Amino acid sequence: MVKKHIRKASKKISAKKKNKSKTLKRNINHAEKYYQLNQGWPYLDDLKNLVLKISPPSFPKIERGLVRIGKIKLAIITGTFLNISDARADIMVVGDDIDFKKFISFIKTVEEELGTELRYVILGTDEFKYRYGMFDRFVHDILEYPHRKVIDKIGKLVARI
Amino acid sequence: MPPMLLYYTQLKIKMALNSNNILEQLFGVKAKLLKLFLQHPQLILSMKDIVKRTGIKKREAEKLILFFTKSGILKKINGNGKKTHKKSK
Repeated sequence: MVKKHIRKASKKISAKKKNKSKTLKRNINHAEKYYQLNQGWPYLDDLKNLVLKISPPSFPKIERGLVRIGKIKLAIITGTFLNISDARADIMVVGDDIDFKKFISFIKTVEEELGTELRYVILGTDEFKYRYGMFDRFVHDILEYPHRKVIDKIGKLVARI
Repeated sequence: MPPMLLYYTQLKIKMALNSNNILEQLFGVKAKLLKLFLQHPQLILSMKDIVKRTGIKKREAEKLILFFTKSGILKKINGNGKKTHKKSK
């Protein structure tokens, strides 16, 4: 009787061990795979030229998207839009009554188009004026880097730069 | 070519030329994936990231990536950081 029990127990243990090893193998098989551009592909430079030259970002589309978000006085685009790697932000939006949900969904659509995460700044008009007046470094950096004004209703203030 | 068909093809060409994104008109969804990888050559992305960043459906993305890896534009990297090699027969 005792022997039978021992055999059963040993069988159970061995079955558990087998199951464990199977699950481990499964985990290894399902390890996530990652993908990267193959730098050694012979036609890479040609393809890069073609793709990146043909598809510039569509500024009117961005303007249309931003107008719907709220009362926007100034929208500045730099960074990834203009292929500037060391810019401090990609979009700076100045305005009032901005619908943040709409803004975030707009940013998501642009991110999908560009394939990159965007760094954005939203400022109220008064805050922008205050920061601009006190020579805030962040705001001035954005304005001093090469940029493009998509919407500009505070023209007089920023035109000095 | 019948006149109506000619008209529609001309219209299509006009639309394609007027739209900002000619690349996507030419290559479809493939353009999105290509742009993602070509703009950031050092990025290593999982399937999840690719789907999230491009907005392409997962099945479609899988098919395209298989095509790109087979043609040599992309390379596959395992989770442990090792490049995959095909077994020699």
